Amino acid sequence: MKAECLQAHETISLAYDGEAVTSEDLKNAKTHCASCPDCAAFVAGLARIRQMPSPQATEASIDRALVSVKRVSDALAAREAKDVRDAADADDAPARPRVLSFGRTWPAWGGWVATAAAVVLAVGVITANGIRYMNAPAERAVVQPEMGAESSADWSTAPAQNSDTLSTSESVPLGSALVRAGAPEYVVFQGFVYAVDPKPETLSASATRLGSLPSDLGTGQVRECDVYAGDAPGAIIVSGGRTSTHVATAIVRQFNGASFGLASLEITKFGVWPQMPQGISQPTAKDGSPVFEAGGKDNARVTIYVLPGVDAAAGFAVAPGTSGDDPAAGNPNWTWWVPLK
Amino acid sequence: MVAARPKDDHELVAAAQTGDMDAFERLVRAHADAVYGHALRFFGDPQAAEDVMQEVWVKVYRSLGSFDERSAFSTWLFRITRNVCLDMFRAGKRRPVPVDPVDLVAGLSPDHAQSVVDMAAVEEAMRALQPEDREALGSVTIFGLSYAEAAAELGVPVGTVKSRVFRARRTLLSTLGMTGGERA
Repeated sequence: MKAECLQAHETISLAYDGEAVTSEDLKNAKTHCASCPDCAAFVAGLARIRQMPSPQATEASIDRALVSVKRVSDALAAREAKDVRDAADADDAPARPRVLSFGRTWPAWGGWVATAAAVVLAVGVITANGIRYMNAPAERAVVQPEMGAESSADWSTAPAQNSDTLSTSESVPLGSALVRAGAPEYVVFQGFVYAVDPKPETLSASATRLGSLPSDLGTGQVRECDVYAGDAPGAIIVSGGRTSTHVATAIVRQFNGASFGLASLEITKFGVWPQMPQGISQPTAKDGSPVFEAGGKDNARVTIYVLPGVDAAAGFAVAPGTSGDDPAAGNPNWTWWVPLK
Repeated sequence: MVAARPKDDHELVAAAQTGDMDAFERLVRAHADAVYGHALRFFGDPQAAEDVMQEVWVKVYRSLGSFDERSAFSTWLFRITRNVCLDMFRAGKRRPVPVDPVDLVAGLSPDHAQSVVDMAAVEEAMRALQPEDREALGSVTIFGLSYAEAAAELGVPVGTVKSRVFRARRTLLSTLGMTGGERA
């Protein structure tokens, strides 16, 4: 094939996809195709194929997919309803902590979220839009403070946190993901946050695969990364390919002799701060109200906050603005911690 | 074979994130063909494509709360669909049906010059493409991604996407006998 034919094909192919081509290139390609039978056939072929429909999902297949989604939705709702009943049956008894362990038997994301949400639900009602409280305004907000540097991913240069910034909040519906850039290199595996060590790691051939997580690993392109058991307690190995394998360590704090891991919704990109589990709002006041109440101090003398009437052993929150050596240092949001064992 | 990219994805996603199941269903219906088409071309098996459909939309439902719309919904959906197909393949749950070259020829009219190329023949030829070429072409033509978006999702330079899409088209037309007599 002549070079000018190839050039004409390429130009027309790009133009078909709406990619940028110069009017001169397009004109030259059209002129060439008008006088070259092979190229004319190529253009005609493109046009014919373009007019053909792509494979279409049948109504039955769409219905089956929707039924699957409905089944998941119903299962989640049923579990929440059961937890509400259980919480009511237990009267004022504190919720039992979930038994967790590093690396192997951490619960699926929904489990402890449902537990935490259920405790909240004990004093609220479920609506189609999420959780609304009987004694709170109709629109409850997930409150996030403003951040100074949108793109800063440097832990050491994260802006100093001040709880007063909570007054510059904005509201989004429950369930929405409002995130701010500027966090350290975090990934989330099975609902728990891990800090990724930037130093490349070599993956052992005998490493035990635990699953996968979505992360961009700092590349800006999110991909499904394999997760393997790490050597150290609370460590995992995250592999996005041969040249991007790193050790990641769980973010943990101690309270009352037990370890609690930082929990979050999915984080797929470096520089994004952990978010509270779905169903637990960010408080609107520095004292944690109306969502939390003070629940004592952890081993590092940091104040922890609990859901009203719920034992801290079931999980607790920590306010933003902790000191630089705290595991949640620099986080502009309230954080949620779940017991490990 | 032009990708549909509904303009109201943003509104539907926002509504679905607040628990509006009608909005979620509309999202499913608006993008079902893209998911199904990608899966069908990946596995060559309608049953496998239906399995992918179910898996993808359950994943979308579970993850929609964390979708921050930094990319278009269709870009996010392409990523999920691609990963579900690859996961099913890696897990051995599904295997792509091999393409028989005889079927490619049999699907075409004997008179190539005036052939009425039917959809089945085109799909068969699509499946005969190199997987990376087919994936690049599908990301652009089925999901409506720009070359830059496809490059980001596939983890390759834009120039590579350009080459793969172009190569896919040339091979496709050649296989179908629509390039002035050339055959692959």
